[in-house]
Amino acid sequence: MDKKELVMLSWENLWRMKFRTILTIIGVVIGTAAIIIMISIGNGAKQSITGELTNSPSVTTISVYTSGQMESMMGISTTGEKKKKITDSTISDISNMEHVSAVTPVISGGGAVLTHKREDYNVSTMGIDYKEIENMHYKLESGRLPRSSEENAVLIGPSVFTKFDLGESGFGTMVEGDINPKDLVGKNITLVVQRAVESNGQPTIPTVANTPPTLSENKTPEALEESESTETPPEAEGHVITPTESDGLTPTENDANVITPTMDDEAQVPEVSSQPSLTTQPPVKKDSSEQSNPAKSETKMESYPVKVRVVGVLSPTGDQEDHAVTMSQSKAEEMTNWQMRKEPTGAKKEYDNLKVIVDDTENVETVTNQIKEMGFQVFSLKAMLNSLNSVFQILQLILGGIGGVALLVASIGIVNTMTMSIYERTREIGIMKVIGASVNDIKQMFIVESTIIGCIGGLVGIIFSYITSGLINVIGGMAMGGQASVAKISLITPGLALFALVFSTVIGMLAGFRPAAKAANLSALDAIRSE
Amino acid sequence: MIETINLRKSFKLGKTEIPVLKGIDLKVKEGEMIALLGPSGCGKSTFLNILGGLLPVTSGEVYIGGEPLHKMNENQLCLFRRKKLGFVFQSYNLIPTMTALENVALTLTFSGVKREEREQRAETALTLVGLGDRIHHKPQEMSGGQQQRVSIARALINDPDLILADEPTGNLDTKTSTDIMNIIEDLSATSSKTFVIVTHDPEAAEYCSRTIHMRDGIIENIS
Ligand SMILES: Nc1ncnc2c1ncn2[C@@H]1O[C@H](COP(=O)(O)OP(=O)(O)OP(=O)(O)O)[C@@H](O)[C@H]1O
Ligand SMILES: [Mg+2]
Repeated sequence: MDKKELVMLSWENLWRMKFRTILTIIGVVIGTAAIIIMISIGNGAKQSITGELTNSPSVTTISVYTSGQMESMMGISTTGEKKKKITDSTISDISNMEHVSAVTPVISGGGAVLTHKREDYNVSTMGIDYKEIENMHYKLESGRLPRSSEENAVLIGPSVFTKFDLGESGFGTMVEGDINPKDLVGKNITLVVQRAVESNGQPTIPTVANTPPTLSENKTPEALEESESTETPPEAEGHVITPTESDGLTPTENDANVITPTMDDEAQVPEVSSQPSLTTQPPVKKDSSEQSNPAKSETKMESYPVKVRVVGVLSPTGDQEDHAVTMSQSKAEEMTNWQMRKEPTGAKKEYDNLKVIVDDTENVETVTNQIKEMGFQVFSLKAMLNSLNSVFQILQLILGGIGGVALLVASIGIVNTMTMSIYERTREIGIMKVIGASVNDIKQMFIVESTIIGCIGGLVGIIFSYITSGLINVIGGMAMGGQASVAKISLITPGLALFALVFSTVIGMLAGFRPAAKAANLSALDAIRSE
Repeated sequence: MIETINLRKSFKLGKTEIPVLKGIDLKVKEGEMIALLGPSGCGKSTFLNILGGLLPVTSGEVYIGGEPLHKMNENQLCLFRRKKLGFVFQSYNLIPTMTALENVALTLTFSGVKREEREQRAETALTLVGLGDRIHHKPQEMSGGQQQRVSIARALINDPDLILADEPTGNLDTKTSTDIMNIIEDLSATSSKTFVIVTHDPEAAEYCSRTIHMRDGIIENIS
């Protein structure tokens, strides 16, 4: 019997017992859909977490730290063993490595305040070597990259004005700022860094009434000195908020791009030099006020404005640049030195952190290993992605396994249907044998029938899955709020659909083997005599 | 056409062997129409099924059209049935879910004949047995006589050399039996096909050129 006739005959056989065929197919549909939906949810999770990162330029970036630094950042005390320092010679060593296209120190500031259109924004700052910027694979949303000579040029990240809002529900959401970063391109802005005033051991007074109390409360200058010595940027200073309009002191004489200096409360108004200079000038210093509530021993702040010019807005990198103002190394050093009360030393410079840009994702691992061998700690998004991906692979295996159980049950259903069909069709099989069907014809007929059940079940399962997946995404998207609708909860790739179809078809075929052999071995005479 | 030499068949029931056919020697020429008569349980059906390759022999030789059935394996027998044989049973043995046309055409499906030709040949065969207007009816929508005619059409469809009929009129009334026997006689007269018809009905036997009387596993006489 030729293949086409065989399939036609099997098809007709199934059609003749449609009710049972359809019931069996429904089982396979559910099994297949269970697998697809389960894996698609794994896919969706993977996609929403790693998808954006995989395509971001940061995958070719390696961050280098002195060893032990990560531990100290996490509060683990490190043993006194000598740490390898990152110096200019380290930079040149790394930049001489194969596949390395750029190396720059990263000068991370404790944060600065940027005022735009009377709103204050806390931004972090990072300084990089502008000589390398051309090779750092930065993509721009608008504007241009700064030239290496442009000390005052800065790039701003796309999410600089995005705030994290705790909201009423308790779920945090990212709220887009009202300002489009692109509007700042070509404009001058002033960044203000702050530090606690050294006031001869006297407790300092908050400069701003609405300072978040948790941030600077109870910080004595001694405590600050301490934190400086451990090189941990004193967070408090960067997060102090400059005067709000309710103070009535916002210097309206400045254009919107100019940052206001820190203000004291009204009692100190006369002492405040309310006119900030536009360039780097000695910090505006204010004395602590004795009239202030002495019970509150809080830090008094002083400010240091830095005027810079925005030349471009970065495309999302998935890295710290997104939320930062990227500036030249010298500007960043100027700001941190002031904040840390460090004198610029002519001595050999040391860095906390380097950024190494590799020519291709493929080579990230090689370079990472080479740098590790030099005795530094290394972090790369690529390595994180790799381990994330293996986590998701396991997740998908587990989810797929759960779906697989459903298909296994369905396959038992197929075996059952086909076996039942032998009993029901014993006479029919006998007749077929008497009129000339061979053992193989009968065997193949049964296998093809169960394969068709598996295949149709798979096809309908795929359609069903796409519909379910769409519903999950719509309903889930609504439940999670507008923000989440961008990221899909369930993602069916064509490969997954194809895999499920092949899988269900093979399952159907395998399920047919035993019943087929059983049917084919029936004695024709016994079969036609049976009732 | 048919030659059996000392054909024996016994069935095992537990440890004991029950001999059913006890040495049958028979020669049938091409185009003959043979009636097989005998009391119930004498082994007529067993003999017919051996001739149709549906039962293996215990000993002896069976040649159909010169081919040694006793030496063939399952697959060869199946091919042999497909090409050379037609069966008609007392209980019609039609597939209940298939129409008359589908039942008749099914034989050709296994021979690899294309659908169009299958259906056309099936229709011709059904017309030949007088069922041209019932081709799309299912077995349960037809009378016993009509069903038996469908099964005759099915036995004819592959243009076999030998048609074996086991009590083809056993379930039918006298009038219908006569119709069926007339059809078979016509077929026998207009073709060179050989017929072996098992029957209890002496009237049916009269249509045949020879009658073989069996008793207790042997041929008693031939008339
Ligand atoms: N598969 C079998 N196993 C055991 N014994 C069998 C088998 N088939 C037939 N027999 C026995 O063989 C003997 C002959 O049976 P067979 O069916 O050939 O008789 P028959 O002449 O066709 O009778 P009837 O006219 O009633 O159809 C019977 O005694 C029967 O019990
Ligand atoms: Mg009988």
